Amino acid sequence: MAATVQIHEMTAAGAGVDKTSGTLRFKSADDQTVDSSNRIQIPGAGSVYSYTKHIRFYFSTGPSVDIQNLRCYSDGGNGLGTGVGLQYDIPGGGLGTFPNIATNIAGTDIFTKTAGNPPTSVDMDAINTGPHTSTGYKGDHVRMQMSVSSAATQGLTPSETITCAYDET
Amino acid sequence: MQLAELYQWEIETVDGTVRQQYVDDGTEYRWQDIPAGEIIRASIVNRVTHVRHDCMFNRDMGEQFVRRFGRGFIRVVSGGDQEEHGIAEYTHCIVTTNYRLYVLSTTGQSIIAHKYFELYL
Repeated sequence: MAATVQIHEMTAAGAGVDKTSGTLRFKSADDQTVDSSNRIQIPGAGSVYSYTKHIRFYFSTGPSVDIQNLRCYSDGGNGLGTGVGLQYDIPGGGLGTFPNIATNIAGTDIFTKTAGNPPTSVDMDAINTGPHTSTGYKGDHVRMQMSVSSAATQGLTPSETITCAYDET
Repeated sequence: MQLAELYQWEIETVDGTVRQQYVDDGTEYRWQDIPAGEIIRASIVNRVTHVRHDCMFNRDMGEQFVRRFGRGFIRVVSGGDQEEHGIAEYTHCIVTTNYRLYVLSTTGQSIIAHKYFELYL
């Protein structure tokens, strides 16, 4: 049967929380709870950064043959509001080697990554290459971080969607 | 039935044999085991309504089945308070030597595209 594929927010090197049906809340605390606590305070000057969040593909049931071409992308337009950004990188070692931090990861603006094959989109199996079989965590971690500059306005940001795609044989 | 299983592929070979992706015993047939040159029809079939999208191959013109795949799309929401749920779309694709046929599982919409066109939603 077709694989059951999820996107997890990682909590440890080999563990995470299913966010396929949920929301990533960027905040000033290292947790996966979606609430209004630990809000990011707008700085008087410069920028501040949320704790990083790692996402990764998880197969709760494996494919009959294999899955490959893991990638993710944005809609290409930053709708989070003035002074708010979302950057990413692909840390080779994942969360076990790169714990979540609230300092600037100097990543790539995720809104430069749009629908299409990599490098137009983010390649999520460049390091942990496919084809992927069986169950468990597959492909690469995408580490994301929200930046908030002094130009931001207070309040809840509009939502943005990251699309994760895969090809199942 | 999860969205990814709403449709399945079906292949007819030159000897009249018809094979479907999902077998009654719960296993899944491998299209890779069927010689591409023997395939005269490849279809994407809705398993509930049996509505089908057929690709007929004119072997005399050198037109052939190349491969098939499914492409899943998962939406992850960041910021705000909006929530979306699960796999947003699952497309089935038949790749031929001349074109691609994509079928969207949520709507049944079909798209004929260039043989190298990659559909992203």
